[in-house]
Amino acid sequence: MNTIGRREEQILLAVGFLVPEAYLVSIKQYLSHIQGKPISIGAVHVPLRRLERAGYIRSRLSDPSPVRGGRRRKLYSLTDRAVKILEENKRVHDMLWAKYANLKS
Amino acid sequence: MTKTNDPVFSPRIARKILYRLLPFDERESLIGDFDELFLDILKIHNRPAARLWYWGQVLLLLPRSVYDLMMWRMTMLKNYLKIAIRNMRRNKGYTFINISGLAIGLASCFFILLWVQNELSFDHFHENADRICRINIRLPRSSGDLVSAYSTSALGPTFKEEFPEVVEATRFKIVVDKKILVSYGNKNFLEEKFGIADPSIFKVFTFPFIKGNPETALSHPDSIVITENFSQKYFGGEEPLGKILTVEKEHKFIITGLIKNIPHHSHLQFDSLVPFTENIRTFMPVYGSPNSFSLHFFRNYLLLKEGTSLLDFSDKIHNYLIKRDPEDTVTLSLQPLTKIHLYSGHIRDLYPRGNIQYVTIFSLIGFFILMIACINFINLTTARAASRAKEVGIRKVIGAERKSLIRQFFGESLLYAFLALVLALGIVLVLHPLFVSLVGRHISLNFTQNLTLLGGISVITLAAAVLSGSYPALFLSSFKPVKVLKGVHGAEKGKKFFRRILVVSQFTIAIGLIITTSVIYMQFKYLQKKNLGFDKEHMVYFRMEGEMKKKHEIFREELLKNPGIAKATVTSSILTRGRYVTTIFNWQGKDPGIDATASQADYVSVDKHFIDAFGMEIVQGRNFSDDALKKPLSEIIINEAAFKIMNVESPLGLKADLMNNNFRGTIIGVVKDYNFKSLHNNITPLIMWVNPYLFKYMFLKIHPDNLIETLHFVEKKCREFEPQFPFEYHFLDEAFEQLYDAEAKMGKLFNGFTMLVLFIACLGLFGLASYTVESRTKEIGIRKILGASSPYIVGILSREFIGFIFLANIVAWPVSFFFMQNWLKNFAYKIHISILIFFAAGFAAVLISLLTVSYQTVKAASANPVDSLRYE
Repeated sequence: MNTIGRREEQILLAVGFLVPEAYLVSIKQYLSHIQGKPISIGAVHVPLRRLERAGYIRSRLSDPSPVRGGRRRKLYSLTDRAVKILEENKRVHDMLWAKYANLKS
Repeated sequence: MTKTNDPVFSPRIARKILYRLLPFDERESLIGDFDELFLDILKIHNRPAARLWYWGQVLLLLPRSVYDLMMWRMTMLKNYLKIAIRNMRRNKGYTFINISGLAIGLASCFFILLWVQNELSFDHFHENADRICRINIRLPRSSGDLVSAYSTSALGPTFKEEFPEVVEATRFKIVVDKKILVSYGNKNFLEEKFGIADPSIFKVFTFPFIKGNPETALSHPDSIVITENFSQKYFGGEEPLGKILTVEKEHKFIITGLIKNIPHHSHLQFDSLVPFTENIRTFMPVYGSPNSFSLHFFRNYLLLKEGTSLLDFSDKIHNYLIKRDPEDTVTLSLQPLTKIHLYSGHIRDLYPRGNIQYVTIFSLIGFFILMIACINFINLTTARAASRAKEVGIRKVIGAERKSLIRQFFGESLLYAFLALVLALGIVLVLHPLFVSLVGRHISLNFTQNLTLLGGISVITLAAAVLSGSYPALFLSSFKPVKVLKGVHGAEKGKKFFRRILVVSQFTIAIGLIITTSVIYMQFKYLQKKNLGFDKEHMVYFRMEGEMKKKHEIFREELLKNPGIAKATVTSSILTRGRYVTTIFNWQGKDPGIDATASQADYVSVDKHFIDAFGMEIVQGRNFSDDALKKPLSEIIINEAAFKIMNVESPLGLKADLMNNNFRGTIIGVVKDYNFKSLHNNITPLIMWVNPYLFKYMFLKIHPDNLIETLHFVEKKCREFEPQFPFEYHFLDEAFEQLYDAEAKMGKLFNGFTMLVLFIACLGLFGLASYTVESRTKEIGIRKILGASSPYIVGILSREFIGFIFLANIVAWPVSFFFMQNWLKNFAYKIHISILIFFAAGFAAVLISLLTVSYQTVKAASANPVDSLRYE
């Protein structure tokens, strides 16, 4: 599948912003913060898995962190494919917005 | 994953559950994420709230995880089933052998358990079964003490008066040596199970009443209680209560009670019951008064108070008897009701009864059969398992966990076992009537009633499945995929050894059973063929009644007018039955030093044609004279055994008598010993004299041609003398076969078992042979290329199996020899166990096993090596 959903797009953007500290919790908190209302873990995790499988993000494990009881984090970063589709989406998006704004004004 | 010095305070249990629920590849990071969030919440809220959140997360995850799990399980199950069914299809023969072998084993085990359960349940249905006992008496005899179930009629009532421990006492007698003529209207039947008892019988035993009051049913001397069957026979659907039955043509009895049919697992069997009163004696052979202390004709049953120790009470009785008559040599013993059926082999009694020995033997055989079947099942499954090694390797490579492999193999053997169980139950249902006729007992098959049995069999099946599944499940699953796929099987050696032991033990049991069966068969044939000292062929007998008896001489002459009847004689007893009465034999000049028990003799009353009719031989003296009939008891003929105990030069002319010293008779002859009892016993002293009052049976030697017409003639003649009497005749040789009924039945059962065991063992061997041959295909191919001949290859393939059988023989011979030697002790006349039987059994086993494996070996040996080397 080449298209991505709205939530997935948001997550990709969050990952891009948070890199190199992009992991499940930070993404969740960042999105909750931006959105202004809390978002569930599942709502982040499920798209993350799909995105990883579809090759939009890649992951690696961090060094063990004492905060988490010695457990490692799964850190995500964007792939070229993700950057490309984000830019493509933005282009379409912007264009649609521009047309819409023109009509309104 | 959890560390003891935990910086995170997330609830530990919840964390563990979470760990299991999370996807395998992301567990670590995700748990970390959850814990971090937990800490975040902890920073804002209090601890309980954070914990609650954590638990909430777990709960939210649960449904999805369970669904996932189920879905995957189902998917895998489908795959396992598919593979299992494919395997079954690919190896149809093997599957058939495996399942049917186990099914046959289970079915026969089920039957045996059914029978054992039935045997053990005898007399347990009485409410107070554990408190009822029978009084047995012990009479000292020269040939060892004689224990008898018949005791004196006074015992029961006396004990009830004397001992507070006895709550209730009842006497019971069934008229055995005579069938009682019972009539209602124009319906006349000869009743075999006509019982006499005290009214208290219904207080001691539990025989449920359909109609009538158990308390008062037998209180009137002319009352009679009947069973449903009896009622059906005389009245059909009519109301039996209050109807009047005529017994022996003149005595009227009024029906006061209708009881349910006596259960088959009751040692007391009767169709009708009348109270024991003086007037019974006018028409029935009940000797002695109701309160006699000297004559033993009754069975006495006591209902004891709760908590009475049988041992203490026996002692008490013993002391009492000694006080009463210190001279009396008779002692009593109490036998619990529930042990009467199985533990009465040594007791003189006329009921057919069970034998605890047989129960043990059959339980053992059942166990053996089941064991063999299970061994086979395990054997074949494990043998086949090696061919599954590759599948295991592939599965592992693809990523199967060991757990799932274990599950798969256990599941598969469970599937086989389940199919076998279903098949076994089918066999049980189909063969049940055959089984009933074979054991001669009404054993109903009711799965709901036999739940324990069914449960037991299921558990055994399960155990077999687990046992047979455990090898592939636990062993195969541990294979390293690389090794397996390369074709290296380790640990074949140990397994082979195990399998050999299994095969050897199977054949040991089979050979043992072959020997046992042959010995039983030969002994049985020997008993049938043994010269008994008289001619039993073409002898017909029937009971005489009324006029026939009174005018027996004329009756005899009339019968002899028919050319079909060669000889005729009148006697007091049937030759086969031990209904000869044993008393003390006294003669003139008897050494007073001879103990009373040493000079006991049976006596029989016969007419002067007896010796001729049975083709017996007089070794000394002469036959009865014509006067004998006019002067009863005046002439005596003794047998050789009696002559021997007299220890005189010639017995002829000596005065003699039984019991007392009146010397009513003179010994006129000695007859050659003949077996008047069953061949379990030696020939004992016998006195013959002429006493027309005791004449009861007419024996006819009949020409085998025109048998039916002759019998019609006899019946007509009987009717001429006694119009009302129902004519019932028997053949003497059939009566003889009945004597060895127990042996015949056991022989038949053993025969069946042997066949079964042999069949199952052969199935196993066949399966094993096919496996061995298959796994040596390449070897055989190479041998052939190098010039081995087909017979040589058959030889090397069979060698292994012959070795098994040899070993099995070595184990089986001594065991079965010992066992059969013990069994033969039951007979006074027995065969010698010849070594030939052992060789024959061993040879048969070798032959059968060779034939079994030959199909496979010959096929393998004659195959084209090109094909076998190309295999794969």
